[in-house]
Amino acid sequence: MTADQGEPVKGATIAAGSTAGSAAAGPVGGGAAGGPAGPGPSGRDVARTSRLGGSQLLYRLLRQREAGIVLVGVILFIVFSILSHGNFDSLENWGGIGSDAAELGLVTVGVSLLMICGEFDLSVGANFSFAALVMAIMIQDHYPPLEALLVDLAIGAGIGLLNGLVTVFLDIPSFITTLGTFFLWTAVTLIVTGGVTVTILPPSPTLLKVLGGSLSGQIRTEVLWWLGVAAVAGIMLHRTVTGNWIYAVGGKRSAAIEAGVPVTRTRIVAFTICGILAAFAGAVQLGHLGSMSASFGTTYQLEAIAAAVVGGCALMGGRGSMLGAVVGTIILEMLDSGLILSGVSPYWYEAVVGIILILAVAMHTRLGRLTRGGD
Amino acid sequence: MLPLAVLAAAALAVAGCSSSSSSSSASSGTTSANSSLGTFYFISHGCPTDPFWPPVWNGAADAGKQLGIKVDILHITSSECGSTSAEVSLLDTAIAAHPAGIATTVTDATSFSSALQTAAKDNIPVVVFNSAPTASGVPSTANPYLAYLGQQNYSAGQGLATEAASEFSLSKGASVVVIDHEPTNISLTQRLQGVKAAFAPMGITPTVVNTSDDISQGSSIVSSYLATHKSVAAILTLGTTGTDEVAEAQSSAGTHFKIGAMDLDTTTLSYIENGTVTFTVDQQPYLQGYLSIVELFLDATEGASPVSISTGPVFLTSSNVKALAKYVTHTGY
Amino acid sequence: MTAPSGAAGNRPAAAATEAPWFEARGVGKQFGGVVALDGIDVSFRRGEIVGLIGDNGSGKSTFVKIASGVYQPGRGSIALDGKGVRFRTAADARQAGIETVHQDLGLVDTMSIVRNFFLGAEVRKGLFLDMRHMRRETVKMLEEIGLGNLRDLGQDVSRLSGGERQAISIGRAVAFEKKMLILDEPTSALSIAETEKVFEFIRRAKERQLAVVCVMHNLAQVRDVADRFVVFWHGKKVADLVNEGQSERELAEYILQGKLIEMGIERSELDSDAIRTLAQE
Repeated sequence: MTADQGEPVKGATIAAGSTAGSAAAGPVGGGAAGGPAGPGPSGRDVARTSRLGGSQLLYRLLRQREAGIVLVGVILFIVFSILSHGNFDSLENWGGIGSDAAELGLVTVGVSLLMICGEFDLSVGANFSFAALVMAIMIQDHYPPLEALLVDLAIGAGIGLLNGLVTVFLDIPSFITTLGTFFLWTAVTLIVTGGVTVTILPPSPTLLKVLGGSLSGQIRTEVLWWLGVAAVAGIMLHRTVTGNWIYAVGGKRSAAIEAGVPVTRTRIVAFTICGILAAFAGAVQLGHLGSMSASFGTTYQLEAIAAAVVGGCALMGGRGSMLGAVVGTIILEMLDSGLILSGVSPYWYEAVVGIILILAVAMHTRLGRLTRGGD
Repeated sequence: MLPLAVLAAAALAVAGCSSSSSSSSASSGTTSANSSLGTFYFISHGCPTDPFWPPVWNGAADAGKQLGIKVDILHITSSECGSTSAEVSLLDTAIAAHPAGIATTVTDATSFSSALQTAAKDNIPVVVFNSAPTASGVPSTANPYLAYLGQQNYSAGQGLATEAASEFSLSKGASVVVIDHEPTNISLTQRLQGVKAAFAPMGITPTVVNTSDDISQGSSIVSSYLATHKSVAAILTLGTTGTDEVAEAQSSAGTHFKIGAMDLDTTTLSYIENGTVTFTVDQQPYLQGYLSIVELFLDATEGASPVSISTGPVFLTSSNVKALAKYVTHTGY
Repeated sequence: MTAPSGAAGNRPAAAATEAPWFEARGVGKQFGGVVALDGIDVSFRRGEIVGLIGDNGSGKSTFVKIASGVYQPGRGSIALDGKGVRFRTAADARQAGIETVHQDLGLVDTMSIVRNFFLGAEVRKGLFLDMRHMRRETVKMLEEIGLGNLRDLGQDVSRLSGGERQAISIGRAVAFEKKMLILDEPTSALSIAETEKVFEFIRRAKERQLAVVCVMHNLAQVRDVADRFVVFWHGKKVADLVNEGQSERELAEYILQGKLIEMGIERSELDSDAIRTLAQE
């Protein structure tokens, strides 16, 4: 049937307003070669760029979901650089920010992915400490460090899997399940370790140096692990079938069920990935600090959710990206050191995080109505 | 939206400008020339809700005011309590600020190494107070710093045990309970080791009960213990949180076991005055804060190398505690 | 197909396959204490359009969900081509060749047209989604359903109008259709012209020898397109009749028949006014 049979011209939006030109003729949508950016036309299709011209590319980049929060990050960077008389943008400071960001960031990648799938994991902090403590104890007891790392990851996977099985098969909201498992694993950690701090005295095994050692000066390998994992997760989310299912299950579970998406499997996979990443983050911190105790992971569950949300993940699911997870993490970490280096009293930190959180969510909600989403 | 973000950034900028100017005016006590020295950072792992720490922070702040220098007191937020990486991150940030000097606590043997080594390489003077990477407080190549100001936790623990033995006339086989309110805290672990070591030749093996940083949770743990163990010769605590927990548990259980405590704050002081607690082992946290800043100042101005100072243990009982009352309120316990 | 007796013209095509392709026997479903379906026996033939009609709460949508694999029957069985089958999930039903347009359209608002279109039927190239192919196919489908001017494939489906979304949901089922097409209230948000287009699809599906089941509450529309009517009432099938040009009122009577039986009233005892009144209850 041709288009002239009185078709729904109403609302047949050719993209909002002034960028009508970018729609052009022929099958549209970004290029096939998207990066780990979330759903959103990846303005990286070279063929299209040359046809459309540079300014169209700029428009498209700006209309990505993440553009807003990246801009906020840039503004904060500039503000802090000025206030700190240049100390903020030093390599040293960013080395420090990088490694904290990496540890929080790894947890945030997992939490974001799970949030996109429509679920929460409040047990990540306990997972982080428990898995890394077992790893630390094993290394202290002269087990091969690689084995210890595999055990750490296995514990993370196990905790995530358990969260998934209980949530899905007992039909309990994940918020509740993982609140319970948080307490469970915190208690288990204390029972198993007696609450002591486990320290691996130097010389530290090569594996730990690979996980969290310094590359040069203040720049640490953790940052590479974090960005690498985020990239892989991003590609998985945006470019694979499983990723499509994760977005669908989080976006509207009934539609996913009706379309034949394996919803149960997808949810459990998402929980497991989140668990593995939390445990990996703990291993990386062990590589960085050389010590681990039950209290080391306590802050991560709420901070990771905050970072995810600041980066554009919707609390309700179905929206978000790994790029957003990375940007959200960087912004939270920037606040930390930026406020100190600018001479602002550290008591302000929590207040500022709260304000940024609210503003970020407001911004994402508003901008979401203007920008395109999808692919 | 974008306007909101810009507004937020502007608000930050205003907050930043105003508070940096206000903190420098707060520290302009005597000589304004001293503010040209730059900023001194004072970093601790103290939980904002832990009553032990305000005297430490007050000590540092008072020293800063009296010397006319800028002292930025950094501590982890209440949601980060117990997180070593949060404190290390503060240290990293302070180092990136190229300060005049840093005073910091070090809560384990490896987490701070990289930061301390960087500070040493950058020629930033660093002193450690309150918690050191080793029991002796002596720096090493792995953990370099200039001096340790604080209590030898191990010997303080020994002191607690010997004082308890004499005050409470403890004999061989006496049932002594030690409350550990933060089992992950290396200082408490060192104290506990001292206690055990001092009791060993007396033939006393203390029972350790782990509680928590949360006072209501901790006191219920103690209560349950006391309910099932009726003959206790003495209860020893390793810090003010533990003391609060035991005192609360005792009052609800109605028992009157003897208590020997560690550290001092206004609550512990009142317990000593009313007899709930017989004595406490004080590490003089105010001095830790105060002297750390003084030493960094003298290093910066006179090139005087900081020296390690043992700020405790000092035994406080009802007999000498009255004299302390004025000192205690002034230093903000 | 507007002439009342035009329904007779459907029959030769329907006779093309006499043996039913889809058979439900004794299918029952309960939710807690509520019986949604109470022993349904119904069959559908390839090349035939069946209008499934009934009042609200008669169990039509539940039946649709069971036939499409979203629910599992509490009791009873389903056979395809004479062989018993069990759909554990909707994927099983789709694989067996049954495509469904659910009442809620089954679209994920936060995803794009392309991703929605291929949801559950994604095309892979190696490890990854073959976005280029999927986009091409989506454009083709959009043109077929007359939404060819929707150029921005990247936009969220939530930004489309109700009519566009319904059209996409139908187009999706039609594009993937193989053996059976079920549509649950497919014209509720559509204009007259758009509805006519949907009927085109339905008739074309029938020509392609699909079994088509259409749940509709608009009796005027359903009698235009159905070869056969199946009437549900309170979870039971109360009528299964060939379309011989019955009027809307007659169909309404069948729908209400169950109620009348419950009330113990003979249909012939009532005049059309009374029936109309009952119909409104």
